[in-house]
Amino acid sequence: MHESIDANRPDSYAAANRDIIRVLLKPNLGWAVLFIIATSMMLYGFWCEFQQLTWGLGIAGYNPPIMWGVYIVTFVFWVGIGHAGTLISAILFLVRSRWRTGVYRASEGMTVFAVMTALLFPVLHLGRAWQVYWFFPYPNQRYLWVNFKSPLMWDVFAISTYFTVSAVFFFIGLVPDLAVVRDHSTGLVKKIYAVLALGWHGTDRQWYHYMGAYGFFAALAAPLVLSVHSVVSWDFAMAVTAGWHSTIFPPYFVAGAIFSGCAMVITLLLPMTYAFKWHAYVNMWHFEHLAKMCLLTSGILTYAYGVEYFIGWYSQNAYEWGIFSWRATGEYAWAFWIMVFCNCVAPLPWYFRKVRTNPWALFIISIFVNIGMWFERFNIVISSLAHQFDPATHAYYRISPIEYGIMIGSFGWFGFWFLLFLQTLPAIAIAEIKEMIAPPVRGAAHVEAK
Amino acid sequence: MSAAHAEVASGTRIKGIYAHLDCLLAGVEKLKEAGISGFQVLSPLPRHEILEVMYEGRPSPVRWWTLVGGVTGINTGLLLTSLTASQWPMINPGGKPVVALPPYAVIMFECTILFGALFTLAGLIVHCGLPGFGLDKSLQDPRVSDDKFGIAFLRASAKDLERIAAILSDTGAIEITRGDDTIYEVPNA
Amino acid sequence: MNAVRNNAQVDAAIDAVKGRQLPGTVKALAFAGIVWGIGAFGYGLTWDKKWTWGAFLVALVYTFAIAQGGVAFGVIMQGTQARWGRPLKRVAESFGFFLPVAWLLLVAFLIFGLPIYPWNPAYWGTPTPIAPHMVGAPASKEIWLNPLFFQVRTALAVGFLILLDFLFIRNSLGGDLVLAKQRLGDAAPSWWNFFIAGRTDGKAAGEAGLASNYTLVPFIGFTYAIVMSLIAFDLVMSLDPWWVSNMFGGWMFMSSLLIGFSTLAVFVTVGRDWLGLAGWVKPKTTHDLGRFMLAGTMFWAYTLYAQILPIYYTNVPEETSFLLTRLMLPQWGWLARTVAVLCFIAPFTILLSRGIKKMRYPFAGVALLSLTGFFLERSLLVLPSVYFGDTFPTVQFLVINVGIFAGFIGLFVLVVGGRLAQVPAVPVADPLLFDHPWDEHVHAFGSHHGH
Repeated sequence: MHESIDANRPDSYAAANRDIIRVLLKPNLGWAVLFIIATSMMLYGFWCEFQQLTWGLGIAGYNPPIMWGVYIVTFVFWVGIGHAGTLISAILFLVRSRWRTGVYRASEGMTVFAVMTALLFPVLHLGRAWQVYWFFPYPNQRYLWVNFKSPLMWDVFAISTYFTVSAVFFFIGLVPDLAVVRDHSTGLVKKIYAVLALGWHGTDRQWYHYMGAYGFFAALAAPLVLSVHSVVSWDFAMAVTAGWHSTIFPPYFVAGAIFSGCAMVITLLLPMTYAFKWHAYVNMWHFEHLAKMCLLTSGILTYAYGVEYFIGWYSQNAYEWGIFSWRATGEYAWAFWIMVFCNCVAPLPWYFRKVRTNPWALFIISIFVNIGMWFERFNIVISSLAHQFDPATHAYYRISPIEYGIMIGSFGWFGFWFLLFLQTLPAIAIAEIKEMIAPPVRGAAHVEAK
Repeated sequence: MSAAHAEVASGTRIKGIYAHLDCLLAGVEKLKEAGISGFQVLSPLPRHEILEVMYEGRPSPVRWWTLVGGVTGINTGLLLTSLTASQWPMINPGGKPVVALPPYAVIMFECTILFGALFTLAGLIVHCGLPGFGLDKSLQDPRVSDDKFGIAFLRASAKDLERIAAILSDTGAIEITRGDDTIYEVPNA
Repeated sequence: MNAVRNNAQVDAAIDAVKGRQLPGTVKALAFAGIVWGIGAFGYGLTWDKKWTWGAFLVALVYTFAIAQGGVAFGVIMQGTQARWGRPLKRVAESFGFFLPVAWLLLVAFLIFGLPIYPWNPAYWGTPTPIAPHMVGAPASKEIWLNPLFFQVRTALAVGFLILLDFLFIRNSLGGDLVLAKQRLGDAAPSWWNFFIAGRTDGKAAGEAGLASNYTLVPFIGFTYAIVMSLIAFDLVMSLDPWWVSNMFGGWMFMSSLLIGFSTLAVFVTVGRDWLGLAGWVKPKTTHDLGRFMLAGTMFWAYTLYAQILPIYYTNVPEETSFLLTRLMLPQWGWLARTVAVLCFIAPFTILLSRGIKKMRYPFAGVALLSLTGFFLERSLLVLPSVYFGDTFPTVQFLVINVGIFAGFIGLFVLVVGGRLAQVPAVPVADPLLFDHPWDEHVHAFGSHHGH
């Protein structure tokens, strides 16, 4: 049980404005170093992609039958990371969880940038990236039309809808806060924020419709977040490939996405809280909840892994059981056991309050989870392709240096945007923080519990 | 700004700034009791008390935009998939029926959400009057995004002006300005 | 500024226990249901043993889901520290009093009803061979579907879950009863002493109970998921021994939650005056419960679609047979369409309305609609595996299946209602029963609301 909930309640409206805006547009050395590192990683990724465009997909380590490699793994990884933001901002909004307030803006930002990162990978995976517009259904003179029955086409719709809706949700949440920044700045900066804030002035009419619309955005985003990773999972489950064709995939992928996303929120927010001294707004109370969320989703994943194995065994299907036993004992067993350790075992210490309130333990375990979730996708994508029905096609896939480079580049690209976000937009939702603060009143007798 | 400055120009605009939520609510209630309407309440956050006294629990019409968007979306998804598939019935990979609802349901769902969200955004923009760059000066006050509340009249009728000023001042407004020539300092700057 | 604990309201909830009994009509109806159930069961055994035990299995799985779903509601409230559902928590947890009865009925089924499974050598018909028919396949079914192993593990697993549930209920109810005993003295029912265990400080007992329940939550949650999946895979899925779907377990345990929540909705609306809940269960409470039911309905449809879509898409014969039987054969297809309407389309559309979730009887009506749908849904899962006729035996369904179901529901109402009558209808010792300290309402300065 928590001892005193009021300990987590910030002071005053003005203090919230001051503390949150304080860090904007003030790059310091630490930020600059991180930014340079991220940008260099990103540029290295660009260079690798350039190589791939020049020489073709052959340098990416793709060889039949393993034609889905690290790009798809990393794509699924980033889509997964992009799930926590909407979970926290929409689903927790609908169930009125209070701890969401301090962390939702940063996780929403993380979502938008993670989906932006994920969107790169189908293009990279194409090889002929310049033909990406073939994905989109519009009347054309090529006599081509997309196949709406293909899961890959569902993915195009799901991911682009998800990106649009989460970007809108992110921006709408920002509008009142951008007005705060506008009112606290001068000159050109003020002009820019004034445009971004769309002339928000906090009138009752604006708030009234804003609150109405916000609830609907949340109600639309909540099922959307479930659908997106479900559709990603159907990229696999629709195939007659042992280890992929599974009915539990959609909820299992969604749980995994939330798991990795919440872990990533911990990884990103924890250092930020210390760097910006935001303990009044984001503190152990929030991280504890994130850790509990990870613990819950880790349990769901463990359940799903178990059920997959159980059904693989119970079905008495030689191919099904073949792939599952091979995953745990074959050439890719190392990836499998990394996954099991990181996703099922590593988060368990968070069951203890002492561990989940210790910043170092939080940070280190959250890194393990991120690694584990990347390996989960590796384990699903690669091992099933490497071990298909005909033993003559069994193969082993090695990640090529170019693929490593592009993967590193994706982290750089994500970091680049996230670091820019920290400098330019309020990373904590000011208006919502104010909703948690006791309103200023002249007569104390006029306040009562609702 | 000085009180004298505020008293100089007398017009149809009048605004009271409050430091306390209960005083603001008292102001709104007194104005309503006096049968005066046509004002907007300014606040740094959406407090349910303000919305309750101003809108008495009526839901925002934005929900109709969401509904229309959702219905449009699901139909768009259905028509886009099935009509185009019917135009090219020969191209039918996978041996499914030409118009196969189970796989199209995914597209229909995504379109429902996409259109629902975009229509909601449009509704929000329309009903909030965004972008509100041209909003009346009396509705603009940088302190309102900080920690102050306000009641602002865009066009108070001349006969009500004194009663309004009296109500605002009686209920504890810390500042009352008239006219639209007020110039605000930037707080905390 | 902290939430004021309204002691008069708490005292009233405790005092209401004195002399409260299940209303006579409800009792009579419950008994009538039981009599009908026994009669229907007897008649059924003479008509078709497999069908009848199938009907028994449906009713058993269903009422077990209600009881377990009720406890799970308490577990969720405890785990999330949510306040909105606290007034419903006691009613929900009281469903757990049916669990021991359900366990006895389960044991009866395991002993006498097992020959409805085609993998069972004692099958009433020609058993389906379960030996591997593929090179390299593990001989798993011969191990897993061994009748003795099946009986023992099901009884033990379910028993273990029930034990955990009871630990949870005891912790949760204990504090309330200590507090109530302080007020009622000797007027308190004697069975309370098991829960009170000699304690006298209600507040301390309540807090201690909640604290130990908080540590129990993950264990109950995980055990619930595993045992309910086991029930789904073993008791239901293995009726068709060669059909598998990974999602089946999760799908059934999530819909069991929904069944529990819907029953809760019926109890707290229809039984509102009897339980004195009017001051606790406000329109906003049922609104929130309704939103949970809406989410549950959507999740049910989502996880069902997650099973149908890949099976439809890949068209693998060993997977499609199960679906084709239920969706395409004329004797079952109409039932599948009814289920789609009653379990998803109707409740989903109706529950989208904000108003209906706040209205007492209309809300109960939607819950009943969904509950009816789930009775048909469970029947649709079981019956096509135990009955192979060309037509749907409508009369027998109405007499036997509905009758046995009515018997189980009657038993449930008697057991749960009898206990619920004798405990405070809200968790009086729970500090989270009252509003969050941050949920303050500011009144206009100078007004007279403030005190």
